[in-house]
Amino acid sequence: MNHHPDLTPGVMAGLSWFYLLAAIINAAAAGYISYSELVSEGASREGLAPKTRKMPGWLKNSTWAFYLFGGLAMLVNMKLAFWLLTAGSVVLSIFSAADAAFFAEHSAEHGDGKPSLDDHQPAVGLGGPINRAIISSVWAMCAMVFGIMGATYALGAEYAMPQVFRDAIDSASGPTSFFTLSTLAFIALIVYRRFLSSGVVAWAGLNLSLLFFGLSMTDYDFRDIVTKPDNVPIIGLIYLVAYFTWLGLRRAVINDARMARGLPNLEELGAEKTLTWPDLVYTELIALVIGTVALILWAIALQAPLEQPASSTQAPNPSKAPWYFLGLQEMLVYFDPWMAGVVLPTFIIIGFMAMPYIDTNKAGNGYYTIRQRLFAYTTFQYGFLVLWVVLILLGTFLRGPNWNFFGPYEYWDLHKLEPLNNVNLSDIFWIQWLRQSRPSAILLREAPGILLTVGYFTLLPALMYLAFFRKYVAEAGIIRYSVLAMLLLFMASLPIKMVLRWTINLKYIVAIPEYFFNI
Amino acid sequence: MSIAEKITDNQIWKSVFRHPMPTDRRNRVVVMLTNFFLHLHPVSVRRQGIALSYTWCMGGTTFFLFLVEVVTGVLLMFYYRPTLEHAYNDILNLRDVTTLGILRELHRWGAHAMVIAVWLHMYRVFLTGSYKPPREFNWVVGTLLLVLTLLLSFTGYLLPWDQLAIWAITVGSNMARATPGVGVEGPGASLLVLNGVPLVTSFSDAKFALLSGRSVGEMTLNRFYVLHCVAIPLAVSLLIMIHFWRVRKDGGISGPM
Repeated sequence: MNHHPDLTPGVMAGLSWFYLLAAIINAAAAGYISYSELVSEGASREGLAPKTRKMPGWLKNSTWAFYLFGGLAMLVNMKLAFWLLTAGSVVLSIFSAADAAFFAEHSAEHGDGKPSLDDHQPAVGLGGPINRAIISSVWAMCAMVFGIMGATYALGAEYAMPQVFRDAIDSASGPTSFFTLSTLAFIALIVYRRFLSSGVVAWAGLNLSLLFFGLSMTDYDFRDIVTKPDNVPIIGLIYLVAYFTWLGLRRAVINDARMARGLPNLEELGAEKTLTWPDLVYTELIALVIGTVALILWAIALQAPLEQPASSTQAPNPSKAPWYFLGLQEMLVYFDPWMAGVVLPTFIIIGFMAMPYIDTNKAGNGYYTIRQRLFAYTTFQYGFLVLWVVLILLGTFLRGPNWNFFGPYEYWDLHKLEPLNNVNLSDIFWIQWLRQSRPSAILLREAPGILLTVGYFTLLPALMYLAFFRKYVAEAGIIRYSVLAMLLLFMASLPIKMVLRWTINLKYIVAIPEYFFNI
Repeated sequence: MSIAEKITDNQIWKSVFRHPMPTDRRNRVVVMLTNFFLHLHPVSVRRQGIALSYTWCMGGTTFFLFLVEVVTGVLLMFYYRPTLEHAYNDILNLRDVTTLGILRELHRWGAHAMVIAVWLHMYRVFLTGSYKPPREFNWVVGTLLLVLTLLLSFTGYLLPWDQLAIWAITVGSNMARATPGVGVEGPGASLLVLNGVPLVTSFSDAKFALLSGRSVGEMTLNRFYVLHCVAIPLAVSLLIMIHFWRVRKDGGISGPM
């Protein structure tokens, strides 16, 4: 057990500001939904009646005043700044939501029923317009909840995540559940993509993740790992990958719906040419400035890690590779180094390079679409999101000393013992099934595994051809198909090996340690 | 004569900038053709091709971060000596003594961000199918750039010479020991024997070649330093030039074909 306190004054101050930021972005969302002209991708505003709802001047001025004075107050008194910014968020969210409700009631009674710029025109394929009064109030309420949580910490209430929750999450998490849930989530992402590409759903997801993150930060062990300087970029990676996955998904859903209705896709809408100066050059300049400022702020706020001087005799436990290789290091649980560290990475690189030559589908060149290239899209995304990013998260945050699995709130105990009772296929075949000792000749001993492996790489491509790939082979030829099949089988070997480990404790399919040849 | 005119209306200025400010259509075209830095771009582009919701701006961000790494890297080289005696203390001094001591932070966080930006750039190129013909080869060049980015980051990881550095490199380079055929613990290596003498030993295998020793030591530091500061950046620069050139030659910023 650890004897560190979950909450310290510094942590509580940090959490109060964290929740304040969450409240501010939700207040802004409430204001945006209430007052802004919501133009969805590809929606036309032509022929609509003009806009009538505007943010009242007094509300605009008072919000800006609270935020401006709050920002200035940071220079002199952080407490004062905190309360000014909180007050600004409260004012903005309450009146935005109230105004949206008032406007809905007013236009229901007095409106002429014609669509105007006040009506939300959803993008094609994303369902009906959102109800501004309801959604604005929901985000306003989220702002209030986050604001109250921030205020609670600012006032010194010591609220930590209940131990019951932490224990429940810890005991439910393991490599099996983590990976299986990720795979299920990925399937849900593709199947329910129309529902998930709504902005409301995405914002709700962001709020939930902020809440989870805020609550988790009250746990010492979670905080200890997440705030390691080299792990901070991975938090950024999570949010960036999630955001861009969502954005790509949304554009693809809209494009697919548009093309199904015979409309041009979003990329075709903007096919006309524009001059590079100023349109692109200025964008680049702005990006340059934002990038420079962001990097400098990051460098000032977070010091680069520097541990004790190198010592070749004192190995830290756990010893981890740089974070971008932790997916490969996680693969070491299931494969020997020659597979996890050499063969599979080589196949990843070769697979990347082969992609444009084996993907002979001419559709989907230069625009977002899922329906026109479902197989390529889901295969790549599964590889990137689940087999690469999720494994990095697992290797970074959930693997502790001796590469044992630890729940997110679990103390990294050096002496945690995990029983290792993995068996080789040859043990299962000769000893458990045939009830005799294993033959001493290596090839005979390993014959079941070797046959299985050879069959996997020869018979399975033939079966896959008969079942799924006849059309592809006719179009692309046998060489392209052989490369594709090899790459798919190597990619699938990781989840297959995982499932075999979890179900029958399989260590190696082929085990010839005499020649370091273990699969 | 206004001050702006005084600055621009003379032979020196006009020898550098051949044209007036690009405020009209003609000058907006010629500025792209006559300026060295701008001539990377075409004169005009498809409007959707430069929309942020389409490109995510990640390729450009990667290039920006590469430039940041080059500049901060050169500055860091002024302060850092890759020897067991000095490496760690030079890093300590960079943190504690050097004026404006965020150089290493800029370099390290820029490197992490560059890895992420490369991934997201490739992710976008995949999701929009932009690797399809005629851009197949540029995708291959991009894959090589991804590998080199990871290698740059990996070789740089060792240079601070702290516990984090050598053990991360140890864990990573242990994989080389298991390379089939050329690693001492790789499958097949023990079969390579000439006149009873094994060809692949821990003094001659892939890991030894990578580390310039049987374990991470001073020669490794030197080797990684040269790779990190000279060899890989040169290769990356060459490939970036090819990458940009081919973007133009293969039809410009991607869009519906």
